[in-house]
Amino acid sequence: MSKKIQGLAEIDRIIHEPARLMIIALLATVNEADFQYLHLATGLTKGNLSVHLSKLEEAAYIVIEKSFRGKYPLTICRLTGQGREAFDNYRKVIKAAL
Amino acid sequence: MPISFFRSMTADPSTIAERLVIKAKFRDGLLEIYLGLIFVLGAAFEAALYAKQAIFPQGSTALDVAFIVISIVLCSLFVVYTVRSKGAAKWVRERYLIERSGYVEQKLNKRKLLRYFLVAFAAFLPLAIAALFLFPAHSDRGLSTATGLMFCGLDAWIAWFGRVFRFAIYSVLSAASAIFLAVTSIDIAAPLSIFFAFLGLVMVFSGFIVLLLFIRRPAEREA
Repeated sequence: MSKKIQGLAEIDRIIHEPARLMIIALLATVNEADFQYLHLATGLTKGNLSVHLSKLEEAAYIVIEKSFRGKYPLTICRLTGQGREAFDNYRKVIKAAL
Repeated sequence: MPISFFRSMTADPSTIAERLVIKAKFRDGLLEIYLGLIFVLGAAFEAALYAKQAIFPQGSTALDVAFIVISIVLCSLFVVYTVRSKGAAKWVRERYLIERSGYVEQKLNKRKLLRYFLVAFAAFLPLAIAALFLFPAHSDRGLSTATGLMFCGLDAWIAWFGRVFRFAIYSVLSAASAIFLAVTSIDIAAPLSIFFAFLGLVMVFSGFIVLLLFIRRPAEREA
């Protein structure tokens, strides 16, 4: 039991942050989603969401494709294989410890 | 940040994310209009069958030809509509509503879909058998009651799982019409078509209201 608890110390802190956990959990169940969908689903402010998406992209957990729909920007986000693996590991550690 | 998200973090995060996807699918009312029109078309076909069997059992050749033409038109409409309209709804959503609703492409989990289908079938079968035993003289009425109760369950599940509360109203309406069909002494012709026409029209009407309210909301653009 204590070893499982100790496993929490090595938890992935990029995913562990609540806002990023929401984003990763949402992207894990869909093929892809745009910025607006994530904004509505998470309830995060646009600035906050943008910062967290950048951090996840830096960690190579998600890929972000920026394009335009007419005059308006369209940002499509997708979970990478690395991101999926990190999310699965995170869930395993949390489940084992709790 | 929605508190409910954290409150339910003890649940599977995938379940929570799926819930949000379902909520997003019904956010603009298009899906309800689509489903409602399928029900109305199905009801029209069932009504045409009833008219042929009960009202004109031994009609003239002209009536038979008219029935065949109507059946073919309704069948074609049904097939074309079910095949094409989902794409049309997607086109409308992506062209006109994406700024408000956002875009999400759901993963198709065939195993999960099959499981849902089997659960719905397993729920419907005993209901249908029980209804046929209860109404041996009016098997169509029994079948309509079972269908109404099944839709009551299905709508209640969407209302609960996706937190789309207007589906709770559809659930109550389905249950009410199923109970009405079970207990009424009025001789109702083609009860199944009446049930589907009623539920379909309610869904189309409600879907349009949701769509209008959704369009009137100001669009938010990316920062």
